[in-house]
Amino acid sequence: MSAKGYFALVLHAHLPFVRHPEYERFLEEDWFFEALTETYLPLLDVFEGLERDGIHFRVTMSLTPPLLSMMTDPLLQKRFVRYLDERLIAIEGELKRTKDDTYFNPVVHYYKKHFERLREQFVEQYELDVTRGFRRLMENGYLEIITCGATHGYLPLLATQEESLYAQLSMAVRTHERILGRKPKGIWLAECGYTPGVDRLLAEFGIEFFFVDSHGLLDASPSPKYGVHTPVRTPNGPAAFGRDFESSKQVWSAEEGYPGDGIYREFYRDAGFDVQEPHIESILHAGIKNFTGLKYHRITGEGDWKEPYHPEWASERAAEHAGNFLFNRQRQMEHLSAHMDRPPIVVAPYDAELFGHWWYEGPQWINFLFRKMAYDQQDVQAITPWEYLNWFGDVETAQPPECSWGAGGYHEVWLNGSNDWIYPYLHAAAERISDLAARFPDADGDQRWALDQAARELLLAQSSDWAFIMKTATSVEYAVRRTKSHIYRFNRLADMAEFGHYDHDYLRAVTERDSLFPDMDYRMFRKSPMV
Amino acid sequence: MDTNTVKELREIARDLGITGFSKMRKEELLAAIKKAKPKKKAATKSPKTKKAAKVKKAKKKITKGKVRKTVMSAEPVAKTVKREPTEETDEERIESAKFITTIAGTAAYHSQYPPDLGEDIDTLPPLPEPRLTFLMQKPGVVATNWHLESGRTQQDKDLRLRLGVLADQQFHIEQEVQVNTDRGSHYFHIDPSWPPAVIYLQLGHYDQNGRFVIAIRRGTVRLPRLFIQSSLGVNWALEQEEFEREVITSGPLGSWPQHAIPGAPSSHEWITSGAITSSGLIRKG
Repeated sequence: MSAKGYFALVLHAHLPFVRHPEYERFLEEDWFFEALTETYLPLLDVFEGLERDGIHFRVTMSLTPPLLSMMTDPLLQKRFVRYLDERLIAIEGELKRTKDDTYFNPVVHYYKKHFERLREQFVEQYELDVTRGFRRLMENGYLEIITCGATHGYLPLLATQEESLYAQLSMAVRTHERILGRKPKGIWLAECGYTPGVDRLLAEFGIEFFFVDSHGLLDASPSPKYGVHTPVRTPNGPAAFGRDFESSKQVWSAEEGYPGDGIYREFYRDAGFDVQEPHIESILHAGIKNFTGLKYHRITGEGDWKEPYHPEWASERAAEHAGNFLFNRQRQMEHLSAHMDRPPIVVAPYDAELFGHWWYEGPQWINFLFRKMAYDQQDVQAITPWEYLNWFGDVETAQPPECSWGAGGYHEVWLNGSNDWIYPYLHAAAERISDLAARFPDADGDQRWALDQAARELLLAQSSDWAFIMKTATSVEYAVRRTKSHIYRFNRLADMAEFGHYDHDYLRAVTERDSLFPDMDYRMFRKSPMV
Repeated sequence: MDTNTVKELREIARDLGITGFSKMRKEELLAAIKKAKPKKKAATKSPKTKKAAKVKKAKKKITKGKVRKTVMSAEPVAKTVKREPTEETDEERIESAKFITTIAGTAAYHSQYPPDLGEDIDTLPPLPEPRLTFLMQKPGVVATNWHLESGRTQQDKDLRLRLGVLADQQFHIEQEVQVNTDRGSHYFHIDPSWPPAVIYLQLGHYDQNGRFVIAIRRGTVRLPRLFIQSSLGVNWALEQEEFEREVITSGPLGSWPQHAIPGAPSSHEWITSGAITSSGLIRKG
């Protein structure tokens, strides 16, 4: 405990539940496969390397319930093996195509090794279930794995029905414990969406800490003495940690951020668009050009001309950037610790998928950062929020305001002209399931089946991702369809439960498709915790 | 590039799809490659070959027996269409990269899903009863959404949505908009200093006597009480000397007076614009 200050890296790993057994192939399932390929498996590799080399490191990581559900789903596991195998075949074709191409052949060779390693990791080491890797690192004290709302529901806009908040939290805690074997100590509120009173519910679930954006602490009442550099205790007990914007910006910012360096891999150039050969076309979806994960170019500069990617050069730059980041944290700790009566904490939260999927070299940067932190200095030490609370837990009490980490700091990303139509449906459905849970407290047989599935459908409809996608216009049709289909299914199932006319074929089909949360209990939509 | 042999240059030219490369001299090859490189991608189009059949066969082998083909469709029919790029923050751009399937800003992937399970998803059932939703979007902006019975606005052509404030036991109408569609939304800009408890939203029409008749009593209203106005100008945007003096001598910053500054940038805006750092100091230089 000789450090001047502490650094908490927080990675929020999340994807919405996308699983379509009704199709042999489904484009949006690639979201998960790409994240496994570029983020989750490379991060596990980095963490295990640090552990093997005896490096002190701590990472707080939210693995959301939909993500845990997908990671442990047998169908998606099999499809991911297919995804890897298809790429390995395509890479063989690429090796032949580029055999005389001194520019691009080396990077194809790199992908061959990389995908072979990914397959070995996934199939042999984790036996198709990557949660094994995360769980072991958690049990050994390196990872603090926290939860998130059951389907990443954006709590401030669901808070019109407190029952929705209880259901989001009940199913989250239950899923976390079922898959990871222990209750979560902390939570990542989806999109850092906090509204006063949520802390009361968190306390009821035994959750000790959560995170808010910088203004969530800077605007708290009363203003905390040390801004975002110590947590505050909310009126109902759980601690709120504030995001340190300085460290965030070095990674996020388009202008100043590390990922924009010209030596790093270019995200938007991909063999799926660049190469018109049968072996590449065979891994595209329904003849549409899409990302394959085989990206051969570096960012180079702003123009269209892109140079070939050199993994070794990029790795060297990631080490330089890790050194720069650490240097800045050292200066920050020196300054802060001179004015504080306890060591400051710098909380740096990021979307996990930033590392690897967006910024390909991100996992290496994390690797170098912790190695440098362990060997090159003593001012900054890695920590988890839980450890910090245990060591310096006598923090001030303050009430954070309603806030989020979305653009503008409030709710406009999830509530605007592109997506506001969903809320009347979501609120009406929450009222209805709460009413049904009160009227039928002991449902069994078909009624229980229909009510449990209706509860799943509503939770899936509440996922904040659909509203986000509608706003950012990436896969809008899919997001709209998912929202509508879950609302439609909810209503049909609620009608069955209420009026007693059961369509078993439909029930079976819907249960097979929207299959997460095997331990669902519709009575979670009541004003009390159920875990 | 100048050091490459003619043979190597011809290989590059072939990969870049340059026609007539076999007859070009070195200077011509260099010029053609230079011209072609910024436009061409890493590969050329080639006809289907035995290789394709081999890949297809291998792919079939991988998938065989692992999925139940009898209950599955191959994949939704899809096409790419041009989409308008949206304004995004760095974080949104990066987060939305998780959901990108085609190149951002140029095309969107539009799938057409065949009718399935007899679900008419595009015609969502009406809500059990008319509904008025009233949510705070951000300080100073209230989002309202109405969901009426089908045909209601045809029957009642003078429906109005009005926002009022209760002050001195009097209801003052601040803003009023006409409602022409059965379902819709409107964003009211309000004075952020109004206490939420005094803001009311009504949907109805005026009767012959000029009295307002409320049409919807069912609604979802949520006005958080704790949107706190920025106090940054007072508490946080400090020069280093001031920061040190205050932190060292004054005790908790929480004991400082909380002055809201109407119209001032929010703390979120201060921070994201880089005007201050989260260490509480004015950014130097």
